[in-house]
Amino acid sequence: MQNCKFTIVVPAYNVERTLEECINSILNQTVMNHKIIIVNDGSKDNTGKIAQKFANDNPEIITYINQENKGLGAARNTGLAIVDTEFVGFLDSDDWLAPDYIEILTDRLSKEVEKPDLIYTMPKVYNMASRMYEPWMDETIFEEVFPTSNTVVNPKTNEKIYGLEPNACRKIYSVSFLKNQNFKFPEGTKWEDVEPHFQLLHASSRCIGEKRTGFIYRINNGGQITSSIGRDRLQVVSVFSRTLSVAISEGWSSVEISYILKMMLNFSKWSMDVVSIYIRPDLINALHLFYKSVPKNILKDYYKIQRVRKKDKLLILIMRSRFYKMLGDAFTYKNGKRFLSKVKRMIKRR
Amino acid sequence: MDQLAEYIINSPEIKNIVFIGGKSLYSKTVRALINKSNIKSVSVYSDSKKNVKSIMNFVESLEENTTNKICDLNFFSLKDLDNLSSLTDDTALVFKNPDDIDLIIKLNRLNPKYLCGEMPSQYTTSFEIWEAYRNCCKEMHIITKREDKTPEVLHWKKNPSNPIELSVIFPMYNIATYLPKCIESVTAWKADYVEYLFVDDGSPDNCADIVKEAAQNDNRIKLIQKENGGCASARQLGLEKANGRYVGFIDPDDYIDESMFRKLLRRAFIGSYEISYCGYKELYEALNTTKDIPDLIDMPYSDGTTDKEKIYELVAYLRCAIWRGIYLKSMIIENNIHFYTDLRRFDDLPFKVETLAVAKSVVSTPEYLYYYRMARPGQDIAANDERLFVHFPIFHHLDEFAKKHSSKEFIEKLQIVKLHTHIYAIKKLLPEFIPEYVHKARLDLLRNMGFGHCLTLYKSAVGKSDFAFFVAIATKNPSAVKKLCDKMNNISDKRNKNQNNLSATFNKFGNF
Repeated sequence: MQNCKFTIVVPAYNVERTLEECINSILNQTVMNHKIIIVNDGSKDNTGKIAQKFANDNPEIITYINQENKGLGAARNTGLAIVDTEFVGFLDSDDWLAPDYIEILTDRLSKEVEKPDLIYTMPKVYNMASRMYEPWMDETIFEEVFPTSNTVVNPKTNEKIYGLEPNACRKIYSVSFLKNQNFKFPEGTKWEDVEPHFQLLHASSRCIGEKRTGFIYRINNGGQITSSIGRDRLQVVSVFSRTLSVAISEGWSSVEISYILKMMLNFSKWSMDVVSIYIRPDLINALHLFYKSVPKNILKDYYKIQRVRKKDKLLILIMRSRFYKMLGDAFTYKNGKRFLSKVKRMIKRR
Repeated sequence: MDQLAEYIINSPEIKNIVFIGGKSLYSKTVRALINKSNIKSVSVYSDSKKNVKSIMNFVESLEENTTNKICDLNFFSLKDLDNLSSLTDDTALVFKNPDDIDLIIKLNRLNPKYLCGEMPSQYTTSFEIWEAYRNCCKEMHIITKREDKTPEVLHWKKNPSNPIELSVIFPMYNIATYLPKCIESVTAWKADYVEYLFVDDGSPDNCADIVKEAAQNDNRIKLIQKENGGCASARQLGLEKANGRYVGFIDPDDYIDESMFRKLLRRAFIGSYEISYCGYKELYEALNTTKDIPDLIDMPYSDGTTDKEKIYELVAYLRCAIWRGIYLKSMIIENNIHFYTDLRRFDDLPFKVETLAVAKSVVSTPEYLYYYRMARPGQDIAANDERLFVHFPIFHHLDEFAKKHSSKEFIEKLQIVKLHTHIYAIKKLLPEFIPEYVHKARLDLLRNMGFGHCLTLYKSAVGKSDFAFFVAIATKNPSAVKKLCDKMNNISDKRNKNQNNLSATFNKFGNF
């Protein structure tokens, strides 16, 4: 199929259980205006065979690449390197696309006079435990950022867009825009969506939103626990410190930086809550080093711009101080909250 | 969000819809479907004029705006269903609050590939609908609405390579006397989507012959023979050979209520739960009595839960009795859960803890359906010597599991299980083994958490006497432990005496 507008890149690692459903959803679109690139990231199960069969059955649409295991970011980059269409999107192989995804995006782009850099879609959440559909996490922010269906947002003037979820699959990217940026996903790290989220928004000038369609995101799927509570959690800190240092050295505006810190605080609290107790001390140590290295004037700006609550300010204060270990060790985060309120009371008495 | 419409519009394979509606409101669902480009046609079968009118009004409002595409929409009355013959492969049979659920069950003659629907909770459940459609359907999605509770969803996909939904595994060793009664009670349910795997663990008696004979009359029974390797290895082999979507384990010296597995499977299916369990009775054959064992089988678990905190509660407080439940096999495989074949006893404890640690949804049936035979000669549970030291390798395995798999909430619950188990063992142990056990228990308890953390945890999570036990163990004080034991034994002796008196009186009256 020649002259397609879109390419969907699907990295696949040990997903024999869900890959078929995922690829079928991309093949069964109401309008065919796209190609598919499946990148098998050195799977140890039957993923490769399933993908190869799909590619043999649909040679015009599907390109199949097999590589040794390098991680999700690298697999996306492998796919991205051979994209020859105008736009590219990514889909993780345990999720699937709504059947009208391509049709609605084609329709939308035909109405745009100037080519957008990024298109934000509105995914849905499918809870595998209760088998119920749920709204995507940032629906309210999305409505604020894109109040009408033809709003065009320039992140320089409307920074609220930085508050959207950093998920890489919910966006469609203009390929020429990515090539201009020399863009690549970070490799060899988890949480690979965070850095691109900030970098691409910073570089882009035209973002549009399309809330009528999106992919369907599975939660409570089997076998996800290990990565989210284990040692991989620690990479949260390095990912954010890289993002922050790039932002500071390139002289981003204080509003943009404040959004990085805001997301970091949410990630820190969440990580402390869920991480296994064996990793917890290490995590708190890393967080201490991170918060200590953030310059004071940047923190001040962040407090002012994001109207940070006193509770959170206190948490960051303790993180920066010598007493950060109080948050770790034997204390769980809930106990930590109790501890914080005790400290508060002591301060008040004085 | 209309869950039913949401499911249909996000299923890429469904192109046409045969919709059956009752008197109650369903127009919202149809409205959500008709202007989606992936749906080509909707045929509505209904006798409700109100709904049809509401849909027509909506269609008119859409037609005013020329950019909207509307699919091929037709209306029929329910009588017209008689003229309908079997449906095409991309057609889904959809129903919403039908007035007569038996009508839906009869419509399986249409052989639809997809069945979706929404219905209120009632006597005929989505499981009965599943039973009627399971041969023709590829995929089913049936939502059961409940008053003041979250809905339950039966989500089922046909496994084309094998039709077995439940495998029951029986590890056998020297239980030939009890086996016929067990087989009889289990096979009384005649469903053909069940298989019974009897694993002969090199038993010296004739239990294999009994199974072979039973298998001649019932092709669902299969015999697997192996060399003796302990109960854990037999269960593990059964698990590996099992084909079912769910697996259950029965100890063949016990027996079950004939309805047990149907009830468990039905409850599991209605809400697509990963674990489904019920209560059990202790059976005293010599006294000819049974006793319902109190357990966590009522609310909130009987409503089904996906709340991880509530499921973690079960890790700590549900009695260890894996044979009264069924478990989703894919959950066991994906999380790499297996029986530890190096354990010669109590291999069900790690299985219980691990499955509950990874389960995302659990449901209970608040009935006592399993008969657990007590005071059988040679039974495991009577040990009071160094055999009880098996708890340490068990917890060693579980600590390893915790490191890989689970969160701090789980580790807290594991600490509670550890303490309860050690107290149970110490109470049973002969006095000469206690000092060594206390020493090992201390190391075991403090391996995951510091002393301070343990104190705060146990203070809030266990009773006063158990807390005293912990302090005595952690301060390396066997004599204090012994004293506590004596105290506890006195109390329980008194309680037993009272109970025995009571049951003696009871028996007397029974004889009259």
